[in-house]
Amino acid sequence: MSRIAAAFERARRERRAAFIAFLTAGDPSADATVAMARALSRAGADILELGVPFSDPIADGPVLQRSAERALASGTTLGRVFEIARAIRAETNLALVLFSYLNPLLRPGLGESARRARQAGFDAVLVTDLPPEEAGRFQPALRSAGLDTVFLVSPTSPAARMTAAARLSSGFLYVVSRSGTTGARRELPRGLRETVKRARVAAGTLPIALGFGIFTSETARRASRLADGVVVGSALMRAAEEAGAGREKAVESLARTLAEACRRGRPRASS
Amino acid sequence: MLLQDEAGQVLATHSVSAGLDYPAVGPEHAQLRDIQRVEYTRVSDDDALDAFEVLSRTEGIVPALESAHAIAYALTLAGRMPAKSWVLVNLSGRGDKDLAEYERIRGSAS
Repeated sequence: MSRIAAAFERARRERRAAFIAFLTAGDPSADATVAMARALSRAGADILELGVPFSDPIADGPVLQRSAERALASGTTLGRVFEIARAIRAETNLALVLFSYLNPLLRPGLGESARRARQAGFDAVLVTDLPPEEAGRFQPALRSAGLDTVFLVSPTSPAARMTAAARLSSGFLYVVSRSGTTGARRELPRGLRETVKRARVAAGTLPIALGFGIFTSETARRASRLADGVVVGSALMRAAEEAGAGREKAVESLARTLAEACRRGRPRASS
Repeated sequence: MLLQDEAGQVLATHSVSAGLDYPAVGPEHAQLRDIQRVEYTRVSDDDALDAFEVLSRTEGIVPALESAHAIAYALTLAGRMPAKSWVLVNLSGRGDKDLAEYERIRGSAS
């Protein structure tokens, strides 16, 4: 069983949603990212998505755009991301997802990127701007390196597209909660229940995780009732940004409330 | 085709013409270049602005700054061609949208 599958299995046994945290690698430094990953692990995160900073982050809102700019300014290359992953792999039990736009992976060659990612300790890869229609050429190279492949579906994905994305996915299927970019929203969008229901049909037995706009413990709690996993990124990166040197503590404290929210949302196991 | 660094990060671009201030070239142009069906070249901001003036003054046609690049190259090329040659230029857009940018850089048109 892959580390990703094991994380979902553990959460399922404990009757909670898996808590999936996101950090931009290298914001503001490689050491800071490793320290925050340790904090997330202590706080009860199951899976960490490590974002490769990109110059043209079309899926991201202002918080993660600023975060990527800082990470690039600190010299974060794909090679550096692999070093960060290696350190996190050595120090925590977090399952690791390489979260990237396609071009930085394509530049050294996708097979080469996948092989190095696996060696660094990544368990899965999610390519934000790789639509299922284009993925046929790329997904086998990722899978044959031993990585789970995670694809995205959104409220605007028709059933056939959801099915195509699910078929290409292993580990979990990522359900984008809304149309638009990552970042703060006050509430979960209307119609989310319907989106999740459709994604479930497409995913079959594959776990689904819900992300984009989950910013508070209240929205995390609601999301954890709908999905098998809850992804939080911008809220963590904003807490880190605001805390400056105190980022490790700030991230840990927020992550604890989010991990708790993932637990509270589910009915307790009857004994 | 993407203007990028070794790490695959997209690089910043500059052009006086907003329509050309873009870091990528589509697959059709890339293919036309590769099979040597089309020769692609470059024109400076300054030469494009000169051409913008020349066409406006001589023909009363205000070209888009994008098209002004083509006019600028046509003027260069015409000097190297045999007399009585024909040069066909595709004016792909009109320049009234670019007057503010022209005046910002060159001052008010006289």
